[in-house]
Amino acid sequence: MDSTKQGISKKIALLGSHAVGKTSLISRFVTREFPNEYLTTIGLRVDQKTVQLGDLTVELIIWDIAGQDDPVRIPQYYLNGAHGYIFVVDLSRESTWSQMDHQIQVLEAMMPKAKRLVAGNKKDLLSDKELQELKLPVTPDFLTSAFTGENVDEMFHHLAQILVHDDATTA
Amino acid sequence: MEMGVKDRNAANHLEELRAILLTPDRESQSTVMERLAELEKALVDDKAFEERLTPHLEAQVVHLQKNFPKLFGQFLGPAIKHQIEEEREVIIDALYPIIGKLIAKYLKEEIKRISERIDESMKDPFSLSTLKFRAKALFAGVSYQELLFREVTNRHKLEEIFIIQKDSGLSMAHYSLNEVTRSQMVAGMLTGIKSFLEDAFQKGTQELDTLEYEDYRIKIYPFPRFYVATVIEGSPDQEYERFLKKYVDEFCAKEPIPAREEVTQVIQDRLSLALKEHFHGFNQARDQ
Repeated sequence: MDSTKQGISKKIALLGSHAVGKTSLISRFVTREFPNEYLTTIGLRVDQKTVQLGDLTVELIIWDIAGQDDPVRIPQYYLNGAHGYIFVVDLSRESTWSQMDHQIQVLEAMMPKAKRLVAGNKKDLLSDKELQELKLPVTPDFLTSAFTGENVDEMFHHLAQILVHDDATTA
Repeated sequence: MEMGVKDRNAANHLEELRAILLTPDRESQSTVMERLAELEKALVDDKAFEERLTPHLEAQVVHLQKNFPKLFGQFLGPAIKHQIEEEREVIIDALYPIIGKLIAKYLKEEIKRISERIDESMKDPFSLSTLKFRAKALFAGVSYQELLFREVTNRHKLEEIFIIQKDSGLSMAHYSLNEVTRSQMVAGMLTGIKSFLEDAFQKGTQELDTLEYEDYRIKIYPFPRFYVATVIEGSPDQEYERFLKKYVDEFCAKEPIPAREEVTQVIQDRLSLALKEHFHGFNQARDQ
């Protein structure tokens, strides 16, 4: 392995509409806790968590950006320099995913170099039958539950892997 | 007229019947009267009344104590405001001894601290630093005592220094006198706040220069692709700021800071070590 790559810092952002569970996903991943009280994120909150991928240490700097239904309203300066992002929808609220294809297009234009994952969160609120019947415009990469922790670590680790792999192929 | 046997028998039967019918009522009436008398006594007798009422009052007091903010909180602010407006002099007279003592205590502590610093500075009147200081006072055209007082009352300390990538807000290097483990979080939030303020006020190409909180001041030195943030304890004067800027410029001129996007551990370690070496003696150098 390249000696310059034993440790690396990556900025990632969590985006999506209000109350889809962005902050809860981060809390579950960083502190292993689910916040019982809903507090809306004002502006921005930055967190960090180290992920070990084999010999490589990836320090994820996670920008939790206040929910916006229209991504155009997200300040560009919060997204600058982001290596990746997770677009989060609430599976139990159609209003958070009905426009997701358009929202993702806008975000891609705002962060052309950033890698993307889509998370369908609050999986625990739906039955298996309801999950199967969902017709989302974009298929989520991960169905997650910040409440139970299902697929949360897997999703962040997967994004870290994509970012590192991207470095390896572009180096 | 004499009552006949027949009539007497009838009277006896009537009496017996009355006794049978009325005795329970009479007994009941008697009980009610006794109870009424007891109640009357309980009401009239202060001691008995107090014994009965006390447990209820105590329970109510506990309830009020527990729920005081909830029950009366909204009325307290206006009530205090009204009271102060109505009886300003009385309130001042009541509070003055308490606040006065607090201020006196604070001043005493501050004077003690300044006194200790002066003692420390004058420990060796013929030391090189003291002689330098006297020369400085001479050139500045102020008395030695005045310059010494200014120095001891206006001390600042560089606490932390960050080199932060401008776009991503990633910390490329960090040196701290105290152990701060979550430097990336600080760098990210600082960049977020800086970007927000610069965008909100849209002052052309101007960049945020200073942030203050309590006794700390964050001085920001912008460069094309990164910025240097210094955390200083105290309120530095212009001379101090010039001295610090010179240190920052010297560091950025001699140390190659990569403009590429990757922030690797190798870069962080190299730059952080360089920061430590460059700024390690800064506070001491400033004091001399």
